[in-house]
Amino acid sequence: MILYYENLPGYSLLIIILPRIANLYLLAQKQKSEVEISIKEAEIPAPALNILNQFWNDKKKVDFYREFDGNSVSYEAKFMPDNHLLSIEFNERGLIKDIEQLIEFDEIPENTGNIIRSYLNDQYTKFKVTRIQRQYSGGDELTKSFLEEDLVPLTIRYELEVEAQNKEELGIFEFLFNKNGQFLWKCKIMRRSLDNIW
Amino acid sequence: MNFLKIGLLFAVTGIFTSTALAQKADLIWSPELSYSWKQSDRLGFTAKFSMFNSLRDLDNNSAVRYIEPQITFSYSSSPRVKLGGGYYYRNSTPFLPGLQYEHRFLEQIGFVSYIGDKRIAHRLRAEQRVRSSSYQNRIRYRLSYDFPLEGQKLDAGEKYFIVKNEVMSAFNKEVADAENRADVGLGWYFNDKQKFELGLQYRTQDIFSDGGINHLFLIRTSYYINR
Repeated sequence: MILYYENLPGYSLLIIILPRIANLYLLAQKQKSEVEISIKEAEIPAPALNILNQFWNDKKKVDFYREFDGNSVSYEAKFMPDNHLLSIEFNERGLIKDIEQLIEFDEIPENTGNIIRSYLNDQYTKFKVTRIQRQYSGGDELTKSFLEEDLVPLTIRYELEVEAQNKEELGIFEFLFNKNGQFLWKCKIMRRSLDNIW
Repeated sequence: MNFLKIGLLFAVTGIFTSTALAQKADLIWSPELSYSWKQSDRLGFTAKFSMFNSLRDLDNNSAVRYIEPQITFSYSSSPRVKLGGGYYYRNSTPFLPGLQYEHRFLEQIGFVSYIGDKRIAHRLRAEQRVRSSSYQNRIRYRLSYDFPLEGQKLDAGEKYFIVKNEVMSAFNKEVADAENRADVGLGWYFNDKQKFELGLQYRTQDIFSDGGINHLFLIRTSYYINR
């Protein structure tokens, strides 16, 4: 391979090297994209603040975050309007993307919960659901529908964090189910190494 | 806000260290290099090399108190529970005449719980220390807590804070004693493969000894690599 490079004219070498440098740059961008930082309210786009103002009469304590997903910036506001923690995600312009509500398993409709539990039972010998969020999405009418509890036009999904194990796998996984409990998607949550506390 | 609290904590620790210097307590610098790899979801290994250097003896051959290579393994019985064991070899005062060594065997169990990306870990360890001069058993319990300093999740390039406390009892047929190790540290999380920690540790040794308690202050610099 090295001999092959050596036999190439100089500009050909550049053609080979430049894409690799570009790849390294893209890799760096990808790593950077995973950054989520805590920010102040003043750094949130105005349209997002206008939407948030609809969620309370008396202003709540809100934590704001800016996230990079690799290609674009998004914003997230987390607060507790009642007994449920709400996470509202906005795009770069401050338009709402989705609402996530932290719930308990028994707040999932019984039939849906049974289907989800049955799916997990089939997949794993042991599992424990440690976190559940109900996701609402629905375009421009999302905020209005959510606040008026008119959930029919909204897309509802359940995101579960599950500690699970079977013969092949052991770990913490994130699952996404639709509102009927049908499995949509799964990924393994890569936790930080325990080497400094183990 | 976190930075303010942590700055304060380090300032207090700095005052303790200064006091230690004034009181002629032991002052140690302990560099560590740790390399961990996973064989499977359940099985992992760690190789570590650490040193114990007396900052009061930098001008003579007893500055290096010991060097310590070690290898440990862990088996995850569940996503939160690990069982493990390992072996340490310690060569004490390697630059002074006469070989002083220790073979150490250990067995341990650990439990970790998560609150978001904050982690609380419990570790119970039993050790058998076969030294060139004596034999000793030791039981240790350590509680560790670490959390990201920016945002809810620790991302590459961010810092984290770690605090630990460990109590232990060492005993054999003749004697028994106890020790406490309190540790605060700041970590730099470069990425999921590498991190660095700077820690300050205060050890209260020989708690039940007739000769009185010994105080030791340790500056810890630990570099962690994962594969």
